[in-house]
Amino acid sequence: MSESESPAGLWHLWVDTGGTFTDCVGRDPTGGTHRAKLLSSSCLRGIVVRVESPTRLALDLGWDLTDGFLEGARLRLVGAEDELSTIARHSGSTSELELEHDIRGLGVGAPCEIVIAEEAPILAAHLVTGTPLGRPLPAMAMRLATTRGTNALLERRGSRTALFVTRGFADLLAIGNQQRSDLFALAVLKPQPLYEAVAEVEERLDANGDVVVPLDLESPLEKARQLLDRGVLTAAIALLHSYRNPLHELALAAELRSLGFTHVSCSAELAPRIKVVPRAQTAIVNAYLAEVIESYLRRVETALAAGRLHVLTSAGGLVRSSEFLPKDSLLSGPAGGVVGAAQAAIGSGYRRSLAFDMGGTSTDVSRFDGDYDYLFETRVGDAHLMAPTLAIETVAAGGGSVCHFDGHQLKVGPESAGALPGPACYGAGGPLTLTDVNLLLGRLQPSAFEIPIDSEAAQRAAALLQRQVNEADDGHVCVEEMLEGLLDIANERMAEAVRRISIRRGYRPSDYALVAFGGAGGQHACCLAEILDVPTVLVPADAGLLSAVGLGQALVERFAERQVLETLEGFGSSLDALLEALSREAVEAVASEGIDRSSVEVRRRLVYLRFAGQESSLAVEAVPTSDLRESFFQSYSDHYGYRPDERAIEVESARVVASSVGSSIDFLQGGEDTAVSVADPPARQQAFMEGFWHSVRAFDRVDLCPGFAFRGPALVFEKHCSTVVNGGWSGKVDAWGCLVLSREDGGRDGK
Amino acid sequence: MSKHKDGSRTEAVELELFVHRFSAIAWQMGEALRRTALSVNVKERLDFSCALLDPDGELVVNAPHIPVHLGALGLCVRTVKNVLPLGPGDVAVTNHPGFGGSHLPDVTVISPVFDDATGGDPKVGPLLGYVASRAHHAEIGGSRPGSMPPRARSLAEEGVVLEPQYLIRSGRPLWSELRKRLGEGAFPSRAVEENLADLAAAVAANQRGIVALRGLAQQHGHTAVRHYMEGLKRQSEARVREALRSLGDGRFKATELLDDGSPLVVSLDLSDGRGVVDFTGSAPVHPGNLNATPAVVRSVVLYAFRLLLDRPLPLNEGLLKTVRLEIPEGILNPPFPPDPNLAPAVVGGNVETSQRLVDTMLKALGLVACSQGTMNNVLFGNESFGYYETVCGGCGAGADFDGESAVHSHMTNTAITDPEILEHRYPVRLERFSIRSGSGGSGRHRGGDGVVRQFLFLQPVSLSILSQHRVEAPYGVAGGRAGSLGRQVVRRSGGGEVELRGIDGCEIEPGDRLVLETPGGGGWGVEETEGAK
Repeated sequence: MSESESPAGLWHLWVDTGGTFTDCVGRDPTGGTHRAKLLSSSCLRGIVVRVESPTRLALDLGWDLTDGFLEGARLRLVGAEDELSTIARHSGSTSELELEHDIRGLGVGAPCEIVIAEEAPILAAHLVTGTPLGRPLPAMAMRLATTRGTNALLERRGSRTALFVTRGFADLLAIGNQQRSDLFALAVLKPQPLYEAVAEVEERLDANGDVVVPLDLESPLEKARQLLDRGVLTAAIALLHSYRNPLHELALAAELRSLGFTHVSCSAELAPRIKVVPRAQTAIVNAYLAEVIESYLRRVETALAAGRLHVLTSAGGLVRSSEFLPKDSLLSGPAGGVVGAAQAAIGSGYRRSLAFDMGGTSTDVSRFDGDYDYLFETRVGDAHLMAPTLAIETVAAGGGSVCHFDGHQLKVGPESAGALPGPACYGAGGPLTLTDVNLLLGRLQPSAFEIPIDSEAAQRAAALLQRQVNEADDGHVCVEEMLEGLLDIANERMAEAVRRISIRRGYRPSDYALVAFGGAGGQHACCLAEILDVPTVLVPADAGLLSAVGLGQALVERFAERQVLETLEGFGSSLDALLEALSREAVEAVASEGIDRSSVEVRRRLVYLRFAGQESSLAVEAVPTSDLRESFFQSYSDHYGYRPDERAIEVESARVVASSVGSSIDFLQGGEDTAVSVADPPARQQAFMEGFWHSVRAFDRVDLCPGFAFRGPALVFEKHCSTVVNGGWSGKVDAWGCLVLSREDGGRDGK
Repeated sequence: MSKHKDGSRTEAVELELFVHRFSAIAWQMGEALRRTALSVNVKERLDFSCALLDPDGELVVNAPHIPVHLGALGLCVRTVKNVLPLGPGDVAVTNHPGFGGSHLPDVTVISPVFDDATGGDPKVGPLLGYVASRAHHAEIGGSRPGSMPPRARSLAEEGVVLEPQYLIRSGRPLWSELRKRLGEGAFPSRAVEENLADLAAAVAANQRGIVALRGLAQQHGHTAVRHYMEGLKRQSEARVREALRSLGDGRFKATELLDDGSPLVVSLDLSDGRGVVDFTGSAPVHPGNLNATPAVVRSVVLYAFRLLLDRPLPLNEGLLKTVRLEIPEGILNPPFPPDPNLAPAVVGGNVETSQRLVDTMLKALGLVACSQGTMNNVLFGNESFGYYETVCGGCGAGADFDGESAVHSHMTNTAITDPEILEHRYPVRLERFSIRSGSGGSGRHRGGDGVVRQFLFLQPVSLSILSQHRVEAPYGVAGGRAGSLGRQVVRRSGGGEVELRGIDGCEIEPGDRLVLETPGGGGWGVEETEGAK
């Protein structure tokens, strides 16, 4: 059955589970759209509003739930982790619960949470479809983006893993590339390898893949048996030059599986490319995360029963859950946002866009030029991986970034206040953060927070910092100037991240629209655009759920690649045949998902070329008739600003991307440009902008119809997201509900 | 976007913003250079650095990937502008160790930046500063391919010497003159076209810096730019002073010997965070190639101070304002007569003496035990190829940490070529690359281990080794044991072994093997249960 077909009765659910929140957008069988944002811990938070008896009470949960929805889940008071009571009966209409036994301290106004023993995507599915927790879910196609693997990698919670490697190279990953990460550390520290044990394997191939020393299984298998006895059940294999000839890796893998290893990752299967260090790392990461990812997906899939599950890869493509590889999971979360931002920009008429996703602890930025910018080697945490990913640059600056003074300069981040204690205004003793700064400068709506806000705590934190600065500076900085300075510093840091994905690669930010989303994106977008000389800012509808929206627009997709490493002169004639073979391979892989071959297209045919002897290559689109040499020189001069002399060109590799056609599901409906204005005069709020307090208009986004236009300075508030429109900018809501902000001077202000 | 043109903004904010803005210029230059250069040294080993300097030629920010480039560009720009007037449209080039250079493969390109605030004629505006970039060229001539001959005794044998000269004069490029210079003399460059391509990349990188600095001046005014250049230097100075003050007053002195017995002597006289770093007592001019230049010595001092600070800050001239350097004529400050045949050889000074001088500085400061203190430079090649690598070893232990194993320390941090790339490109097989366990010195905290690297050669090649700590062991501190010495042995295919000296070379036949063992780091403190291991 094709993904694009939508048989009656099928729900579509797009779920993005991040570290803190899970966002969900769903389309019911009649085409209606549903949204949910919940905690990834699968807890629902609420307040007791009525107590009838020790075991009968009513809760305000902020959700409209069907009768019986919560039955079987357990209730506890926030802060009393261990005292739980199962919910015996639940009335959706009256929000009344009946507990199996009473809980101490459960009075009116008490904050409590309902603990649900389901993975967050499944809870989201129950909430969106209105299916009580104990009942089976309706048939659905779920698309999932998850940071589960990334978190396990960063927190080192993977499986106990052994590495099998060519003799002489037991320390391959411990040595790595011999560099230290901090040039000026007295105590140099290299990251600890992910594996628990290494076994050397007697075997050797030469650089052409020919056998120099045949595989001797005796000693590695002896070691393998000892490892199994110790409880090490996961293995990764990386043998020298296996990308040329996987013979030894495959033979060893088969033996290890039959010995009882539950998971074996072969480097040549995962990344058939030259460079054994990152290839071995890729195999290790894949093995290390296999159990974490597989058991998670199994739990989700089991609960879906009649449904099917696709997972988003780091490259922004969808893969059936059974074929999803852990090495492809690490940027799954941010990838949804990249797709969502690109598609929102296209919808609003901007083909080239920069995605600016500013969350609580970090900011992700990426570039879209009518197609995605891919990387094939990435660093995530300590791991250097060979896996296709979208080119996403992350900077540790978000709403929770801590603002501090180091004795000479004000700094923003990289430390984050996290969820606990959180920003000062959460009232839990947290430090001054960017969120506090925005709040104190009147750029946020206190009532839009999910918890009561303690503005005074934020003020106290700011006053403390002000005192530190003035003591050191012997100055009289006023608090607003200091706070606005902190915003400038954060903006400058984020601008550097944008420059890395634009100027660094030879693209000018002024040719793009900036798509702002994530909790804090809208607060900083205009300022960031001014620094980067970007003329347009887009804040899409559902900017707070854009990653989930992006899932709906992603395609079922596969990469096929082959390393070549031969001169263009020598290999050129074989290139067409190679691309043909790769295309078949990629199309087959997409078709294996039950998609008709006629609905599969080869979206990209890329040849990676470089001058012989260089390491970094450039991707050249392989149009059948193209003169690759000329395309390469053209691309080289676009990227590097000059055209070098004729010299030997090497074909590094070829890659093909095949996608299902039309598996993307448009869920936004374009409305008419009705040019209505807001009926009532909007509320006003005092906000400090550009050096002064202004009384600025504060719009509620839900009141703004397509066609509505206004000029900055202004604020636009909505759930989970607020937008600051600077003076000198004008705003308009387009037919797609996207807020389009334009610089009134057109961007280039003569600077 | 200067929102507060009246200057009411606090310095604490503006300084931080200008740190980012100035650093962004150096960073953009570095990106342009890395992307545009042809040579693997620049593109992949990142053996280059770019810097922004003020109108006096003092370093404001630089972004080195390798500490041996640290701060050297300040001295170089000041020396060059004194002998070569730099006006609008001029670009200077030099690799001369007597003019702020380090060794011949490091070629520096300098451009002055003039404000074009008047909108048209750039000649009208005042001098805003300089931008400069330095990159290691894999080949610049000399008696052996790779331009790091182990046995050279004069500068001439090490390659083409470019005394400060114009690369571009009033906008007119002088490529053909330079091509001629690179290709002439007793030991011309074997890769003139690649040299020129990398120099063109450096010019492009500087151009990027010029545009960016002018943009900053337009946006914020050149007086503000000037002001914060000064502010940044002052701030770095204040921080170094704080750090030096924490050491207390007094004299810190240490001597270390190179493997041939040449002494390196440092004495640091401190009083209230100011003082003198005096190298008197160090060896006279070295007969071989272990002569360092004042630029290298400055890099070492800057690096040691930066370690003391233990936190990020712009690496600029301010860091050296609190101390005066006394570098008497000798191995650390050799005279350079105009005739390169009479000038001393320096290639080992940059890569090896620099490492040993860091060991000496750190010994005086008592910060940490000795690291492997060498780069283990290995070069091999023949008529058809040349290969150069530096190899990691052990780090010294500290008062509260063990030394890390198998990692580059101090003045270098270049990545090693992946084993598969190595075998794909060159006629060798890497048979072993492993941690040399037990080579770190024992102690309450252990020194890090070096590595063992074993090559099998498949073609005849000439092999050169340039290293230290083959005779003098990396010291331990506070009762910690010294790390193991490094060694290098050639095993002949027909049987028999030849042990090479630390600075040595030999001819290799197919089937021969090189086994390189790099030094371990020194330990710290007396091992509590001696013999338990």
